[in-house]
Amino acid sequence: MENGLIATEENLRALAEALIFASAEPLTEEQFAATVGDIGKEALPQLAAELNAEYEKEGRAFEILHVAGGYQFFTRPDYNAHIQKLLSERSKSRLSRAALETLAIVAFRNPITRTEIDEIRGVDSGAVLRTLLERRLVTVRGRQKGLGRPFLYETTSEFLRHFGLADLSELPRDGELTREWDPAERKEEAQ
Amino acid sequence: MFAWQVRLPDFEGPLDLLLFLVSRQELNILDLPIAVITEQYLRVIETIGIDNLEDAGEYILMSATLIAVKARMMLPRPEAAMEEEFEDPRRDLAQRLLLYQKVKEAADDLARREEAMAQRSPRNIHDLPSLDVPRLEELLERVSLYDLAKAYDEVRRRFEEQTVHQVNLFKVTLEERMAWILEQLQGKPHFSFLTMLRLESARLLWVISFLAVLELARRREITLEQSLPFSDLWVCHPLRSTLEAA
Repeated sequence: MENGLIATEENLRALAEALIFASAEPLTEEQFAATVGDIGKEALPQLAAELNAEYEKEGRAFEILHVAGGYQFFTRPDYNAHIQKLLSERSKSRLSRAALETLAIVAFRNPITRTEIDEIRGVDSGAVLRTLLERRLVTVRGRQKGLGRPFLYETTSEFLRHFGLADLSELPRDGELTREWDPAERKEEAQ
Repeated sequence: MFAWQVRLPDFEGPLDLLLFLVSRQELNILDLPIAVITEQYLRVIETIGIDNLEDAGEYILMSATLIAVKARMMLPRPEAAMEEEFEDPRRDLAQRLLLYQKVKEAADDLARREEAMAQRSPRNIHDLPSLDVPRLEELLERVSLYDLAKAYDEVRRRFEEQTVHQVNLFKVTLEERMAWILEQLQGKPHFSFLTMLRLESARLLWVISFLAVLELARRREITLEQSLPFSDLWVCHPLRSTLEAA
């Protein structure tokens, strides 16, 4: 390394802290390992947890969260009111019910066509989908093969960031949602 | 009458309304008393008034679905049919409701996560939703006064051109243009469509020229050739293609 600092067991935690701090986007495990060398392989989750334990003990105002596939500093909720006052122009608007439902459906099926979303919600989702596209919470992944070649929508890393998700596995997936309704099961319940 | 007040904006659609009716009475989705629920659903729609419904079409469609299911429930069950083979007419509806219920739960979960994240500020992240969108300040950084003046001048000139077009109305008919195109082919085997357009400055004339070319091609009085999609068109004498000429 140019400045002579070699990553060791002793300074690895401080290095993780420095890199997460300096990174403009959530720092991924791959980026960390590529920067500090093999010693950093698969070490980041544990290091982040150790750092968080330290911050907690010292009563710091921030902690590291695992979002959008990487690690990033966030302030603790307690300080939100003051931070919002500081950043007065940015009052965070919440998504509408329709937008949340649509996002949930897109996340289940990633990717999914608009027709499928409409069917599940039972209403037209065109306007909602446009808003979500504008906010970059969903994006067009491509087109489905077959009739009409409709657009396929999927969630973005901005979506993961917005909801504080490390990845999509933290959300319910397709299998749980399309559980077949079995009339026999109903009979059993009725008994 | 209902013991609860129903306002339409409270519902995200017919499925949401149905789920509300179901949960209010703690009914089992897998064994819905379809006659009761249909009657309640219709009464809510009636109370609100179809004109006040944002997704009126969808609510009406659901009314029809409910009535159809109810009707099928009243049909006598074929005794001969095996009990297991009998498909409950409510099956599709129950599945949709179950799925939608899951969607609502997932949406609730997302709302909680959104609320939790709204309490935190990330370090070092731009306020813009995505980092690959250049910020307005960055875009304007390299813009000089000269650029602004030039841009203004271009807009002005375009505007003036438009005004000229509006004043000079062309009296060119499709027939005349077709004759003119054929005339151009008298002396030569083919010519470039784009070059022909460049001779003219009026947009209307471009449109007429294009229509004329299409019409002539349809009548097989000319042939059209193109080397690549979206590239220039070669307007050719029907008997002599560019390939031969080359």
